[in-house]
Amino acid sequence: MILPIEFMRNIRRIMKLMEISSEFRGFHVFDPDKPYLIPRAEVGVTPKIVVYNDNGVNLYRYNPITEKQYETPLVIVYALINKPYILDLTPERSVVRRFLQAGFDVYLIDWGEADLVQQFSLDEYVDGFLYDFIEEVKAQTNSDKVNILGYCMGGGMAAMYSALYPENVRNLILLAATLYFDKKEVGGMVKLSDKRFFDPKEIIDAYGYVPAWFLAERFKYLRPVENYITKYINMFLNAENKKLLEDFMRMEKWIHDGVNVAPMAYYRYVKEMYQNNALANGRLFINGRRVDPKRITMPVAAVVGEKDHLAPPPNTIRFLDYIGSKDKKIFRTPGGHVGTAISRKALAVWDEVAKWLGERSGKLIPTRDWMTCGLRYGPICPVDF
Amino acid sequence: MLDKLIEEYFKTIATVYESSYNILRNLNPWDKLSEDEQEEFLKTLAEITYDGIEFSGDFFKDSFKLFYTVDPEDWMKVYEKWLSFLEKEYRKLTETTYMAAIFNSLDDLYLIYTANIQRFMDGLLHYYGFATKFDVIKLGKAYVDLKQDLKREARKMNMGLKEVKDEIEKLREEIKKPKRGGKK
Repeated sequence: MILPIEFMRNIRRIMKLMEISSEFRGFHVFDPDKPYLIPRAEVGVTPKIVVYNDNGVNLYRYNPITEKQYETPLVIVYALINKPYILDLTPERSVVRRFLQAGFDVYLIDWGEADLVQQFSLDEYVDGFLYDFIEEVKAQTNSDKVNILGYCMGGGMAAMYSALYPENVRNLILLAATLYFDKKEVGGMVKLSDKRFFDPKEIIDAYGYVPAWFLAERFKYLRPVENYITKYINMFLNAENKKLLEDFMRMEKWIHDGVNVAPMAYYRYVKEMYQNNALANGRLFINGRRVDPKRITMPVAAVVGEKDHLAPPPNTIRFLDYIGSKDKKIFRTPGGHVGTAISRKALAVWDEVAKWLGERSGKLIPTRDWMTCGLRYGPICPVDF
Repeated sequence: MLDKLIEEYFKTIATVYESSYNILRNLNPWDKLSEDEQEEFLKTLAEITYDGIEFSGDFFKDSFKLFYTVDPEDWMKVYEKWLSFLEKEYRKLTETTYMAAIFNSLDDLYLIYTANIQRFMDGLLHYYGFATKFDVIKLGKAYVDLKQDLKREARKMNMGLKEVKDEIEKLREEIKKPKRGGKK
C-alpha cells in the first residue's frame, strides 16, 4: 500500500521540480570557475544604483523608501567571498530593506570578481578601496562619519578600517564577522585552516587566484552530509511546497554563485588572521601601519548566529574583549551563518539592531535624493546582480 | 638458484610491505596531531559508536512499527529521524582536527598535482617563447603596485590641497576681520 502511495507522491514531486525548473528557465553553468548548475532565480530586488566604482569594485546606493533618514549613512562592507545579494535575497528576507525602512541611507560595497590581473592584497582592499569608497560616501552625503556593517570577512575588513581610521566611523556592526581565531574556542573553519595542515599558498600556486568553487567546496566540507546529501533529499521530499522550493533555489544560487578571490588578500587573511590571530593580538599591519584593535572606540554591535558553524559566535564575540570601545552590544539570532541574514526569526532581531543603530546615528533629516546629494558624476547605472 | 629466488622473493615482499606502510603513514596526518587532538578524535569515535548502538535500537523499534502502518508520513518521520542522526554524527566527526587534517591532505594532493602539471605546461610554453599565466600574474602585480603608488600620491596631493584650502580660508577670515585702529 505504501509503495504505490509514495510512487504517486514522487511523480507529483518530480513534476513540481520540473515546473520550477522551467519557471527559472533551467539550470545554467554561468562561469568556468563555478562548475555548478545554477538556477536563474531572481535575487537582490531592492532598487539600487552604482554611484562609484574602481577596478570592478562597485559602490551601490539603495533607493530610499522613507521621507526622512538618519544623517549618518550606513555602509555595508560585504565579504570578498560570495555575492552580497544574500543581504537582499527577497523583499521579505532582506537586511538591506530593514535598514531602509528604519530610515537609513544604505550603501553597499560589492568587491566583484578577482582574476589573474587583480593581485590585490588586504592593503589595497582596506587602505585603498575601502578608504576611497568611504571618503566617497562621506562626500556624497556631506557627513564626516559613516556607520559600517561588516559581514563575515567584510566584518574583519571593517574592523581593520575602523582601527586605522576611527575618526571616520560613528558605529560599527559586526555581522557573523571572522575576527578572533582560537582553534579550541572557535573550531570550524579555524580548525580547517590549521597551519600544520593547510598552506593557502598552494591554491595560489595552482591557480593564480582563489577560484569560487574551491571556497564553496571548503565550506561544504564542514557539514558534508547536509551539504552533499540530505539537503537535496529534503528538498525533494518538500517539492510540493512551492515557496520552500523557490527559497531553496535562491539559496542554491547564492551558495554556488561565488566569486573568485584576489590571491594575496586570501593568503594574508588566512595566514595572518586564521592561523595567527593577528588582528586581535594587534600584530596585523596594513600598508606598514599597525592595526591596533584598542583604537576601535566607537559603539560596536556584534550580530551572531547561535548555529553558525562558519563563523561561530566566539569568532566575533571574543574580539570585543580586545577593542577599546565601552559601548558594546551583542545580538544573538537562532540561525546559522546565512540564516542570520535571511531567516524570519533573525530578521526580527535586525529590527532591534536597526533601533540600536538609529539611537546612535544622529538626527533624522529629509532624505537625500541622488540628484541633490553630492553625487559628483550622476549615477553610473541601475543594477541587477 | 631456488634459495636465491626465495630470498629475493621475501626481500621484495618485506620492502613492499614496509614502503606501503611508510607511504600510508606519511600521507596520514595522525602523527602530526598532538596527544589531545588524537584523544579528541578517539573520544568522538567512541561517542559516535555509542550513539550508533543506541540509535540502532530505536531505529529497529520504529522500523518494526512501520509494518503495521499504512501512512507514508510515518515512514517519512522515521526516515527523517535517521537522516538527522546521520547529520549530527558526521558533524561531530568533521569537527575533529584529525578530519580537518584529512580534508587538507586531500586538497594538498590535488593542488600539488595541479600546480605541477601547470608549471610543466608553462615551462614548455616558455621554452617556445609563449607568454603564460605566470607572466599575466607578474603584470598584474606590477599593475597593482603602480595603482597603489598612484593612489598614495593622489592622497598626498589631496591632503596638500586641503591644507592650502584651509590656509586660504584662514587668510580670508583674517582679511575680513576689522583692523585695529581702522575706520570708525
